[in-house]
Amino acid sequence: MQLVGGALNKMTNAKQARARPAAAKERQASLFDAPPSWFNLRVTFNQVNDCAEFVWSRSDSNTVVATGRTRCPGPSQLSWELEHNGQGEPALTTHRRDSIRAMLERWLKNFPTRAENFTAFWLRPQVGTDEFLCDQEPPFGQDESISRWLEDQIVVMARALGMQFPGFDEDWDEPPLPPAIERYRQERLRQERKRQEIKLRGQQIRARLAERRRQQELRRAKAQKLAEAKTNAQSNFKSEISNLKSGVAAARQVPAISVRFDLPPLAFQETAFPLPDLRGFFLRERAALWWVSNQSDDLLCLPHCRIERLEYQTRAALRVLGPLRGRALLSDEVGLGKTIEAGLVIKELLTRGMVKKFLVLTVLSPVDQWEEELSDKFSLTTVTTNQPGARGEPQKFWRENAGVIASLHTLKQPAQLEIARQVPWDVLVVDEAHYLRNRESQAWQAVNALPRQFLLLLTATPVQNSLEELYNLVTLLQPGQLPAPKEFRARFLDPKRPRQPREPEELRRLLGQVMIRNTRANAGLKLPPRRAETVLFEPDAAERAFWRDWETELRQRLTMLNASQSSLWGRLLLQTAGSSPAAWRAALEKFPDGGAAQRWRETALLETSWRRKCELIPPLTRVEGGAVIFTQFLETQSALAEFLRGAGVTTFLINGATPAPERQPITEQFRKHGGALLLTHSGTEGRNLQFSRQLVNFDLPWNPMEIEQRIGRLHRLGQRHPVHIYNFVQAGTLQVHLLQLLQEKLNLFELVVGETGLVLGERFSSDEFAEEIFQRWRGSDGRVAEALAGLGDELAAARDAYGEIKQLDETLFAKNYESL
Amino acid sequence: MKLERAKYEPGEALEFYEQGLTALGALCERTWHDRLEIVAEGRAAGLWNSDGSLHQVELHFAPADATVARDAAREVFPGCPLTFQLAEALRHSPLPLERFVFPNTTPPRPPDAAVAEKLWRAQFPDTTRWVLTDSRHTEGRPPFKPDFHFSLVAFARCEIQAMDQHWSLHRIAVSLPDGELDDDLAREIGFHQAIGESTADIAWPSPDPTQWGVLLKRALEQELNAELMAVRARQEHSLRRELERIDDYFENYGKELNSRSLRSSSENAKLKMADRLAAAKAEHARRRADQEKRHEMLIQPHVDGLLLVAEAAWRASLQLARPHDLQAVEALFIPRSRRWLSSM
Repeated sequence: MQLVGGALNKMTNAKQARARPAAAKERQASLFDAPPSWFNLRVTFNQVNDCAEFVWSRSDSNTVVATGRTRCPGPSQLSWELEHNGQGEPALTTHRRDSIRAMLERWLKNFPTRAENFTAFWLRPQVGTDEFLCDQEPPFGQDESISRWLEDQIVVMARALGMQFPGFDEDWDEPPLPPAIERYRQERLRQERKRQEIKLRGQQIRARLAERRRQQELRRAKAQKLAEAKTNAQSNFKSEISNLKSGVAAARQVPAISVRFDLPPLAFQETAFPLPDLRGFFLRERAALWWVSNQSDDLLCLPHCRIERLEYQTRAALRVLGPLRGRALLSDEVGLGKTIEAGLVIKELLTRGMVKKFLVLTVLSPVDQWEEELSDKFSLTTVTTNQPGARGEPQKFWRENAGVIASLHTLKQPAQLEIARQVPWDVLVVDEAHYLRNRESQAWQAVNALPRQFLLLLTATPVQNSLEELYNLVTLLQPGQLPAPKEFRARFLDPKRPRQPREPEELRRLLGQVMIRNTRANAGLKLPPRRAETVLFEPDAAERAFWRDWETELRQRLTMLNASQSSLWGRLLLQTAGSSPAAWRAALEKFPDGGAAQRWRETALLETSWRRKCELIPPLTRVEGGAVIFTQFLETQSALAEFLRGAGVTTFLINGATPAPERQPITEQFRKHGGALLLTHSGTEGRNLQFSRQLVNFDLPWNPMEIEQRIGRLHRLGQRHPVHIYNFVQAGTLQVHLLQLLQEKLNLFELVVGETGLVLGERFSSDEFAEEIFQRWRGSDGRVAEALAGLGDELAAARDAYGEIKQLDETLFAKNYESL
Repeated sequence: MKLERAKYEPGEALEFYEQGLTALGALCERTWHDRLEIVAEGRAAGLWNSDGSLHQVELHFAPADATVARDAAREVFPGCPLTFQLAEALRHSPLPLERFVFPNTTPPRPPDAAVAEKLWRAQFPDTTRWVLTDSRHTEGRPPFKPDFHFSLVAFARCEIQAMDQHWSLHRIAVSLPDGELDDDLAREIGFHQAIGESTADIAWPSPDPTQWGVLLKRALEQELNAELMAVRARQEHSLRRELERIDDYFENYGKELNSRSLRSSSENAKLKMADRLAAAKAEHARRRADQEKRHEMLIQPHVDGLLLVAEAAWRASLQLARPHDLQAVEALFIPRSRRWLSSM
């Protein structure tokens, strides 16, 4: 009603538009030439009842001769009711101007009038009262066309009133519509066009699918004919083929579904007296009913999980458990939490009592990480192949534990595989499933040999070199989902471009039945950028000379130790030297060559550069959200904390010694007060610090994954500002070269969290990278940059290769697989 | 009798919590239409802490369609752990065998002999020469003697595992000792929650867990039959599809290997192909077996309530002839269900 009233109000504005083109006036004049007599006409545009009322009366006696009323009963209808001599004459027209004009002409022909006999009124409701306002239209001049004015007013009225009906007809001509109506009309037109487009697209898709089905059937029939012809032609393999055929024919019969009714033996305790009433019995029955009814289709395990609730992860888990019936290829982009999705599936199946035993297979390095995640986030207790029990008592290890996390490497060992393949696994999860891309590989064969009910393959890059890798993964998951190898090659593989499918849409359709792939775009995880900055501070000349000599001497001293000790001490001392004098001195205390250590400690003048390094921190802590400062060593952390407190900076500390229940409150304090939060590696775990936007790598771990984990604490879901990463290094040290390597060759600070592992891949596991750095430093004879150049090239090549794989995956799986 | 699932509605959930927690000894007070203040200790507090120490909480009963993150310790919502825990706390362990005497629904007089005969004949149409022997031989004594009939009423949560999981709740009543399913009793007992008959001189039957287990199993199988048919059809359809997919794949793969073998002239290559073919056949059989196992259905009833019900009945001695056989039988007429029970 408001809209109609509002629209009708606009009709008053139209009264200024009475001047008409000359041609129109002439036309109007010719219609009403020489009327026999004139009637008075009073027209009231009644905005209270949404109608136009006409009253004709004799000009001499003022007796009413006829009345008329125009209303809008439908989206494109106008009703015209004329009453004359006690007889009604109803008529209907559309909202079109020409229909309105024709009707008005008819009425005005029967009851002619002229400008001086014509009066018009507007009856409007008064806002906030029950009363009405009646305005009279100013008198009309001789040269003004009444019929044209009436026509305009009724057109506007019809349009305004018609909009209140669904299916309002927008087939209007002039005059130009008011902006609100025009916008509405444009919107409706756009929606209609979209509907038409969708309909057309649907028809096209249906036609295409029908054509594809037809082609497939033709192809299949042809292939079958060909095979049969060949089969008949060859006699020497006749027996083999007939065996095969008979086997298949026998196999084709669908066996009866086995139904097991497992009522546990009835055991009860007798009660002495009959119940006086059944309220207790029925309360328990009601409880059982609530228990059953509470079994919802959502994930029941969610309240028992300590995870951030991300909708795409929940959806993925529900899709695995529902339509995919527990067998899926989870190929989310890196960093979206495939582990969490797999954990949700396992936990849900366990919560519902549908499974008892699960096995997670992964490459060597993430075994402990899986154990930790399943324990922390899902309260699942597991055993791993990194524990001594796996080797000591393999039978017990594989058979008696409900949750097992094993490395693929261990599983491949014949003795272990022999046991594992005899255990009926309810859930089998293979992380980093791209290691199963080769069907002939031991890993593929080993996984394929394991009996399982539910199977999840996790990889962010299902295709690395050829589509055949994807084929092998899907076949492991669900043989027959893709056609037999030869047919697959013929249909989908282009030998010249093994990574590009020939029929991408068809491949997508087939993969969509087993694969889930969430992307950052569909998960809504568009993170702000990262800005990495190197903060280089120059030591004074004496200190620089000390470090140069120290490194040379250290190289010599390390040659006197055995290989493992040399590596251990070399890495420790070099890393502590890059961290803080306190950490370095603490490390030296246990150095096997006590004399040298004592001398180094005494001659080193490190305090100036240490102070200079620390002085860079306080300005950073004054920014909103404070600064999160990561150090590798406890000594560095406490020395820095002492300095910052001395400088009046609010400082918070979390390290491995901080009890778990205290960690969150400390984080909350830091969130409230800002300042500096100092973390070590073990204090980092599980901290979500997206409210802060400044990260300081006070020292540089030699493991790129650790740096990535540091970044991941801040640069994560919920971060709204660009994250600034400040890397503190001292000029002229190994740290500078290492940073250069990580920044320029590996692109560490540009990679999405999770990608570093994929770039480093099989070449470097967690510890190997650090070892490689150390070995190159030791062999460098002071020319560290040159020694690390080869490693840099290797990293750059790995980064480029990963870039290509990523590009390919994006091309192949560009669209959202999750929604398929 | 399958009990319809309760649709989550905050008001009803609140009522259940209030009743349930009060039964467990907690103090409950409705502080708002969707809030319940609880002071609990012992079993009731076990919902929040394992040692049952004093716990005070105001529970919020969230609307079913609420989308905000839930607090599992303070909120009740569809699928929430508290509901499971409360239901489990109310479940008695070990399962008690309770007794109940049906309120006196028996008419004061025994049934008319003619009516009793008609009912007998309707129940056992092949009967001829039906005679109430007591009335013939002992003049003046009523042909029917008051007695009791016993039934076992149970409710069980039934879990059907068929790739996914279905839960349903069933209340079943079986007549003792014959084990016939008595749907009327299962339905009717719900209306007799008020006061039972206090009769001291009832000779209750001796509990026989093994036999009763068999009877309940049979009754549950019968009860779940319709439900299982639907699940089974779905499983069959799925298995057929999976097997077709696997069979097609291995058939084509086998043909590929064959044709490759035929193309090769080397004996060595042929041998290798034969090996691969054999491996493919073994793999085919294994995959089929895997799918068959995956599609197995497991039905696991969990009996949560067991009630032995006694109801008034009339005992009579009969003589009757059924096909070529004259028999004297002891029978029990149950007025509630208007049916005869006989060991015949």
